[in-house]
Amino acid sequence: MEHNKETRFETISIGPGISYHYLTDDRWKTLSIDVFCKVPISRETVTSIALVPRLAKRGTVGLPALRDISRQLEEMYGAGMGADATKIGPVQVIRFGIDMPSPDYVDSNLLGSKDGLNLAKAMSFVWELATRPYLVNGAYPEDRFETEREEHRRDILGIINNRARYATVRLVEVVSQGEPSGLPAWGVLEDLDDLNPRGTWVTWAGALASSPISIYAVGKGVRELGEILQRTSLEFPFSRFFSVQGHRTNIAPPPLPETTLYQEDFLPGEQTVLCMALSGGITEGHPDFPALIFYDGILGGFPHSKMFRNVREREQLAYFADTSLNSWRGMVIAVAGIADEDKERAQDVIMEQVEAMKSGDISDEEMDNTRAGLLRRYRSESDSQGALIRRFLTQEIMGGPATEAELVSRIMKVTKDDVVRVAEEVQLKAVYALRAKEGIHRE
Amino acid sequence: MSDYCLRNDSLREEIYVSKVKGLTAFVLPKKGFRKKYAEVFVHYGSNDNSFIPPGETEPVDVPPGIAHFLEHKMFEKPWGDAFSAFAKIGASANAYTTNNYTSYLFWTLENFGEALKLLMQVALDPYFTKESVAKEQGIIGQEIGMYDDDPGARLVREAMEALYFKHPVRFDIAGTKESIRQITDELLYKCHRSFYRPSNMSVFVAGDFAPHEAFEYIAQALPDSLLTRYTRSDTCPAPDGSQSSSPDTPVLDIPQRIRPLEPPEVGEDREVFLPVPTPLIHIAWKDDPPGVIGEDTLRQELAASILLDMLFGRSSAFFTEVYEEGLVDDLHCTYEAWPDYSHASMFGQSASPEEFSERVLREVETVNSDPKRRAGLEEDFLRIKKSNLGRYVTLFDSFDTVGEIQAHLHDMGLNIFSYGDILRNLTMDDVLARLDNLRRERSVRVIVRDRDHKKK
Repeated sequence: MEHNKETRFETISIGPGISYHYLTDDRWKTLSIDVFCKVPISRETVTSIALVPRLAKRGTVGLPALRDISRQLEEMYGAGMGADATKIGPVQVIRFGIDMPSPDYVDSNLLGSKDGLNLAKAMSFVWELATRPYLVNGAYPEDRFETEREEHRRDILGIINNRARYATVRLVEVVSQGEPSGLPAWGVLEDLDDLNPRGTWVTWAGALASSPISIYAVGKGVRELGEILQRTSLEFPFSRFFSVQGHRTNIAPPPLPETTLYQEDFLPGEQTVLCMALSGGITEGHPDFPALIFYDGILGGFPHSKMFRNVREREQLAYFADTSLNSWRGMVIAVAGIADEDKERAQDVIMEQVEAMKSGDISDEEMDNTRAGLLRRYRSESDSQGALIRRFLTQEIMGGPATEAELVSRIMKVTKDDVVRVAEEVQLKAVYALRAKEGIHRE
Repeated sequence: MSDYCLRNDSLREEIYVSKVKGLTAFVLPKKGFRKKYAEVFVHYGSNDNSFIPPGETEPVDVPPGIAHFLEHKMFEKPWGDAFSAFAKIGASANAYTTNNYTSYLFWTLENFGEALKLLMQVALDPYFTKESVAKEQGIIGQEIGMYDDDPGARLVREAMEALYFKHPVRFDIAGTKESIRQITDELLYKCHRSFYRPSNMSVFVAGDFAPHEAFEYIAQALPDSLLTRYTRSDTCPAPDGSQSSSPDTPVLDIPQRIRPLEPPEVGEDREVFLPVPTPLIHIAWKDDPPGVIGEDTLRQELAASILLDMLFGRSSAFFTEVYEEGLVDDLHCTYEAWPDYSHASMFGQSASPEEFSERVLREVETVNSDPKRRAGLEEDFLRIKKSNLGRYVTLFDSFDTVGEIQAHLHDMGLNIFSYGDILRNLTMDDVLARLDNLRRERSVRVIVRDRDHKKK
């Protein structure tokens, strides 16, 4: 493969609203297949669907027990299974995947046959995980359901074990102001109690019948797998709607708060985490969106950014001080881990940076370094199966550029004036602090 | 150009090895990839708190956390911050410190030669001032605070403290807020001069290079003065009083590491209170260290990892049992073997950690004492070995993993392909030898839980 040529998936349709994206590439020793089911977030379904990947991993019709699945994967030379729920924009994305060593590199003199390393077989395994869980009388087995519900509850509660992650989750919750489209991929804790094994299966089988599905496959032989999939039809538990389109789900993000919202929680510990939401309502598709990508990069996206240099290096307030960009919400989220008594100071230093960008205090070096960092990120994605899949899947859901050439060209055009224009729009929408010390330094 | 080439035909991978200005260099050609990767390994980690510097005779004790502190400070240069300098040429840099190594790395798509030169400056040219040391104490203090709040990190630290009485692996890699306060610019210079020597370092480069081209980049990135920086004047005479080399020959010796004698016994179980919704548990077993560098160390690590998978992995009868009872959700087992220490670890979350831990220890005893269970292990062994061989293939997709394994194994007189051979040739006896050493009396249990918990 020519490495200067852009790496991209070929796409074919294998049914209504089902697309197959494949990349034949011999650079990797790993073969992978991922099935993504894209369900628009709703309060009614999000929590039960979040349980589905967990229940899938417990057993299928063909491999009814946890142990059967694990043994099968070990027999496939340590193949890895993935099943999870994430969120891209307003869509809950349920993934069922497998990755395994390419049989070309497995020494055949060893430990018997390589027959298990077969793409069609791997595809059947993944499809079975997605569509044929082990059921009893048309419902998930009661005991498994109870265990998984309990473990899911623990997982949600356990987010707090990572203070920075918890603080970001709480900030997003605060700015979402109860809007269902703002719910996280794992659903709603208090809704867990209302779920039942039959209802959860029916919800999932319904989602399978009506949601767009994308299948991504990388490695040698994936084109042939596409041909097989075109010839045979995939089986569904409920008959699949013929009207399903692969089109994007047009759900608006939760409206931004008009004034800055403030929220604090107390969790005893050593470090306070400060999170700030900044937005000017510029989302993917807006002409200034590429400038917002720069805004994020200059403020906190890189080690050369204003936050790293000022909050960490100049003021020594933090070990981590950075930002991330949520393109669906058009929101830049700043996070810093600080000593509790420095909370006000840290907030002031971050706001100083925000104000500096508004007043045009952006150097050529900051522009250049950010452009270089973004170029490196986009161009290197072609080296990573995971990064490529994420990019194409995100584009399917959110729109915007899909190819490297498009991504590169739109950031080449951004000027300092564009970034300042975006900076002028940006407002502080919410401040959240997870405080480590109680009431010592406060009014 | 290179001294030799390591290769494996069924994997279709090659690693070229050469000494460049005294530094061991590895090149992994990866055709078709755009990313170019480089990592410098210094055989110096948080365990090296006591040593005799080259050319001296008296041992020096330094505060815990100094290797990690030094890693942070190497990015500060008289001309500015090296992170920004990498960014300016389109490269992304990072660094990390472990118990035995310090690493500096970057990846880039362009300006590879320039970035490599910068990486070498980061690792080789120290610049510390009193002010910059004081500044870093604030930043690392926050980093330590972050680990203190992280229940997973606390679990490991407490378990190592409980498992070891003397060995420095019991100290956190970052040190403590108190220990890093004792760090001075002089101490940092001393550690740098002692350990950051070409003979104690290596560099790994991966990407779409012709090997000679990559070695050329490495040669150009290294200062010519490198070999003469560490001359005879630093070194102590050989024990018989003779000089080992002529005055003009550069001597690339390494400091003498001092490790306290660690008894085989372990300390008390621990309980730590943090606001966690579900208790976390870590069970650790102290094993006998292999004592020598080389194949035995690696064989011990691989055999023990497979054993832990056989006993407690997702395909084990034990896992199904405790999972279905709701005793545990996810289990992670690891095994570390170094010439001077080795231990097995198991991590999980459990609402009933005491009961869970008792079940684990009993399971090991049952398997060990019941001849039928012991005999039944053979089938699991073959299946899990097969699974490990498959993962060995796919690790070659990760530049940094190959680099880390190759650099560490090289220091043990092995290489990444001998890793595959040792894995292939592992036997049930290797595994059973480890099973005999998973002893209750050499285990510790650490539980992290909320203070207000109700005991079940």
